[in-house]
Amino acid sequence: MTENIENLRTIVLRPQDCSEKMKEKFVQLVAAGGEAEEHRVRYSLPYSEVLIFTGFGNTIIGVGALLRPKTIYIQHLFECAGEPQMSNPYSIESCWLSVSEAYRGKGVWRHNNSAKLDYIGDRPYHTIRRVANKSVADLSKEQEYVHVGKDFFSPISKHKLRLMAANHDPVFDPSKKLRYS
Amino acid sequence: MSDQKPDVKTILRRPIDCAPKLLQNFIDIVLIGGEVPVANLRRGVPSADMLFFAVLEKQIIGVSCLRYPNANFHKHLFEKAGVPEMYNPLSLEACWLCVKPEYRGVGAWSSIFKARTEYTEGRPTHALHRADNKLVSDPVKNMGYSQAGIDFYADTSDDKLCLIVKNHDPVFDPSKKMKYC
Repeated sequence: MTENIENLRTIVLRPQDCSEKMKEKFVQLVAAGGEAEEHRVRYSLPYSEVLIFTGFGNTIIGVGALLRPKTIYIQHLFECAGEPQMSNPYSIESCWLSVSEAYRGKGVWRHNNSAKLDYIGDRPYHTIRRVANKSVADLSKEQEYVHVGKDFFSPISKHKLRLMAANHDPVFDPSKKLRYS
Repeated sequence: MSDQKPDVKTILRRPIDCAPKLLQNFIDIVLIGGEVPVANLRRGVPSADMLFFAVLEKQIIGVSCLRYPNANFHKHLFEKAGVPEMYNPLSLEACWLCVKPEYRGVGAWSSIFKARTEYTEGRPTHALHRADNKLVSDPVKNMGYSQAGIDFYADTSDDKLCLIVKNHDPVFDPSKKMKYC
């Protein structure tokens, strides 16, 4: 298969639909990215809503995930950012994005992200980024996000963090839920 | 003696919000029913959409679950029932319902069912039961479920099975999605 951006393919799978080999590749790629500890990824992977794989043919070169984190963790993030009223228990976390070093800058991330946005639709979601990681903390590159409150330190990381959210109401509306239509 | 049934409450918890002890409690109660291998539970519980716990006087007396099953297995069920066109990848499977024997008849089943119905609202759901299990088949048909296709045998069970559905279109409509509203 030619390694051309035109031949990239992204699939979105629930963990229960992934083979053990795919899940292992996922963990290895995320660990190689250096932003998440391998044991944490292994622990949380079964709880993720979907895993997103980008590759050429059977070769996976980029991954991402959508996770519904613990409710108290979501509350913690929005409290740390100074906007607790925006905390939404339905918000899914976009996380574990990683692209093989050899394929960075070739549109893999964009391909993966586009499939992620299609999947999410109008559902609220959020992500946290290290402020010092300029390449991913730059809001102008992902205009769907708003910067929530202010950057903060939290016990979950030794780094200063930035919380970004999309499709969140300014104040959580408890009458809203996931509906099939 | 009063004929009034005790006040059974059902609480909903996503697996990721459950303490390990609570998850183990869930598994232990399902195992009492003797219908599900422990390995399936250990693998499947973390990826459940929602767990239901029927509680009476601070005791968990019954449990149930909503989950997205493995997609291949899910399709297989609708094919076996002779209605492949009804297969809906967004349909949640209602499963792993079990009430502790000493608490049967106190209202746990109906409490769980009510909580499940409120949670799913118009979302498509399905469930599988043994075709000869009249204790289940008659009540659920009064609660909005209807049989999909015909009774069938599948590789996963020695018993003849019945597939029941709720809020399923006769033919899956791919334009419908989960929306947050």
